[in-house]
Amino acid sequence: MNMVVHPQQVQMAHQYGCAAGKQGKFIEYKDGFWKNSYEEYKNKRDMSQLGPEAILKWAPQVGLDATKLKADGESDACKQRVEEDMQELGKFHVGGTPGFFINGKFIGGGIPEQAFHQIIDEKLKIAEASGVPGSSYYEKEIMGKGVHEFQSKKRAERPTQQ
Amino acid sequence: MSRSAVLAALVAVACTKPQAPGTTPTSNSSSPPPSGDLAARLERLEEFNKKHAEAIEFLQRVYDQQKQAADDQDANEPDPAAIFAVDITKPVAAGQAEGPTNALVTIVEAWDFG
Repeated sequence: MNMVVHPQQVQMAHQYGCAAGKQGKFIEYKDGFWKNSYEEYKNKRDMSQLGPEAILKWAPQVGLDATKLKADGESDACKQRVEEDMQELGKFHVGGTPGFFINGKFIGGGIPEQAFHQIIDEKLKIAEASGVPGSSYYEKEIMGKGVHEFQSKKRAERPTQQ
Repeated sequence: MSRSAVLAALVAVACTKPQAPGTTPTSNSSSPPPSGDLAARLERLEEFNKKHAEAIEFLQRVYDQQKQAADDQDANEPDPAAIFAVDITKPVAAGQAEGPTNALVTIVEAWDFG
């Protein structure tokens, strides 16, 4: 989900991500951004590489319609899409990146890959044991039984363990 | 231990029955010996308490500060046992997701392009 930590540099890049989603090519866009825009920025320390003009240069290479990308990316709808993500994450006090929720378990910051795999495996075992099909698991077990706002370590009441 | 609790303990010691003649005193090495009349003993105990009051207050302040810092940290730290129900309906509908829709494990990533 969009968590814009550097709005001056990448707000539009996030909105263009929304626009790419409208073309069914969000993953292509995301990969393209890291490979092209971010790499160029990293090598040249040039902030403009993260902006719309640079994005529109490589966008066709990953199958995006650049004209549509620009129009959608600058629309209020995509601006709102990014804000919605940030509002949702804000409910859980997410204020930085990277941050992950693995079947609802929060992981703040980077952790070793092995630890990441371990959590996924644990969650998979729980999900398999539940007998709930994957198509409804998140809705039923996470949305249905989890907490819908931040809950601190200090708070005594615990939700049902997954 | 609070200052008042220390004082109460010391007063309790001062009010104990005087040692019977011929018996061996069993006083604590850090406490004043129980001799003299009650007023004199109380005065000594008050002096004893006064002497250590600063140290006790200092320890109390350090304890309070450290407890407050630990409480603040716990208040800001997500409950590791909690299952956080992040609504992913809109990003999924907007095509900002990857992988099969029937996956048993869903990873929600908060990411930034910067």
